[in-house]
Amino acid sequence: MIVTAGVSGLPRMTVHVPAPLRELTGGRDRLHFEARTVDDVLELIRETEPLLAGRLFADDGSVRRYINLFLNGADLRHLEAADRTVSRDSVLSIVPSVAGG
Amino acid sequence: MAIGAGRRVAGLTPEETLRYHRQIILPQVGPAGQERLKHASVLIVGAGGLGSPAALYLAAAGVGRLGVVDGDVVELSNLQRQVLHDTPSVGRSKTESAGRRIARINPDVRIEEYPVRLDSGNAMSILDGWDVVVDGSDNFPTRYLVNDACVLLGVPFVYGAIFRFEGQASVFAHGDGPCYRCLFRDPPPPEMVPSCAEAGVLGVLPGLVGTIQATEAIKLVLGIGDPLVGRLLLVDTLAMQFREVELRRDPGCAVCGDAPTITELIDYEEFCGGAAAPSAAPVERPSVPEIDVEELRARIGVGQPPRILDVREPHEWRISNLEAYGARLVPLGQLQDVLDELDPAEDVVIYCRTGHRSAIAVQQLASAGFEKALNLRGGINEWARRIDPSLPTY
Repeated sequence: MIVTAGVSGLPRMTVHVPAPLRELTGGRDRLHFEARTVDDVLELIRETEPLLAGRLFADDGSVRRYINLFLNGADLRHLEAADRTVSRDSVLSIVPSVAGG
Repeated sequence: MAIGAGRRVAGLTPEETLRYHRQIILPQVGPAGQERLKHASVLIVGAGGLGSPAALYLAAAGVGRLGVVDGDVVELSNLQRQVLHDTPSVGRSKTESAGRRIARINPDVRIEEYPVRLDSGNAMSILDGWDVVVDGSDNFPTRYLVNDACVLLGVPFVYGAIFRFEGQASVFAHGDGPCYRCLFRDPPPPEMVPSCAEAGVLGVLPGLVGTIQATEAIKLVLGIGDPLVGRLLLVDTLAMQFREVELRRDPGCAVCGDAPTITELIDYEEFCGGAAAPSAAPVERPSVPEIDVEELRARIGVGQPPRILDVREPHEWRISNLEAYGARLVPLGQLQDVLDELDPAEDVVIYCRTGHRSAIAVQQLASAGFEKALNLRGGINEWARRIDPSLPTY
């Protein structure tokens, strides 16, 4: 199932939701948002996916340190402002720590 | 160049030359590479889903010395994915089972068995002296322990982890590359740690990821190709996609950073907040109000019985359920959709297989104002064991 959120006219990007967090998105493995920057995407996640947001973000708004977010393969923590722009092909990967072996 | 079986190549015997022929003729391996494998040592932490294929392929490839660390015994429920073990090995120690199997695949491999759970007291001595470590453990304390010990000892390790249909792989503690803590500075809280026993895992998935780990270990030994240093491989077997993301060493990392604060092993059970549950053991639950199976049975028989919700998946409901007592199936992912059908003033008992998902459900209900929601301790498996043995456990 696909969910679209955001303001029309902006690039529609994709968020990959990993298996451990899909119980927070009703089983959806892909979310789609229309946004200009990855920070807008995070804000849209906060607004439209409160359960997922609760897992991703600490009380101070930062990404929890047992979860990593990668925009097109690059760690969000290291991205400069100029690289935070999203395009239609952009993929935000949520990578939680898993321990199974 | 095909190499005849009767001709001795470098330090390889004719039999070895024949056994490893398909590998030796690879230009990137050659006789020198095969000799390097023969003199190499790889330690596998965990003879489970990941460790199984890793051990099999490393033995078959001719790694001269293989160590296996695992304190568990083989259980029937392991065999769906832990291909190192077989049915007659059920009940035996995993290291013994692994040793026997490896010896049958390649009697030239020297096997060292460590039938113990890796901990802060034994890790440095067990992990020291190996060329490469393969981490196939199944819990966070051991993963942080392996990471820290490998960083402190200067031993690279090949990381792999799996969940349901998805896996991760990377190479940590190698040269200037990042370590596991650079990626995951903090362990998740215990209540957010579903195990494979709770969440399930596709049997072939660890086969895939463990084989990737073996491949990386061989590449590290041979010094060929581009190892997964600074890269995290993400495997999604449902979409059948392989993606990778870039990892960087964190200068502020507690163990491999510029000013490390961890210079010796710590208490990893404490560090992970009690998340030490191996895959076959119960996981720590969120702290929520509970009811045990006897109390629930007693309450069903008198007055106004509580509403009972089953937050498992439909295929689990078909295995066992409490429909006879009015239970309703609402998979955890759909719980939010039915909140307006429930009465916050009503007593609600929620169950799943063993009580982990239902604890999350109770938390979600509590945060939505349902103050009388209770978690059925031990789940329907506990009900089957203590109240209704006619129900199957799984």
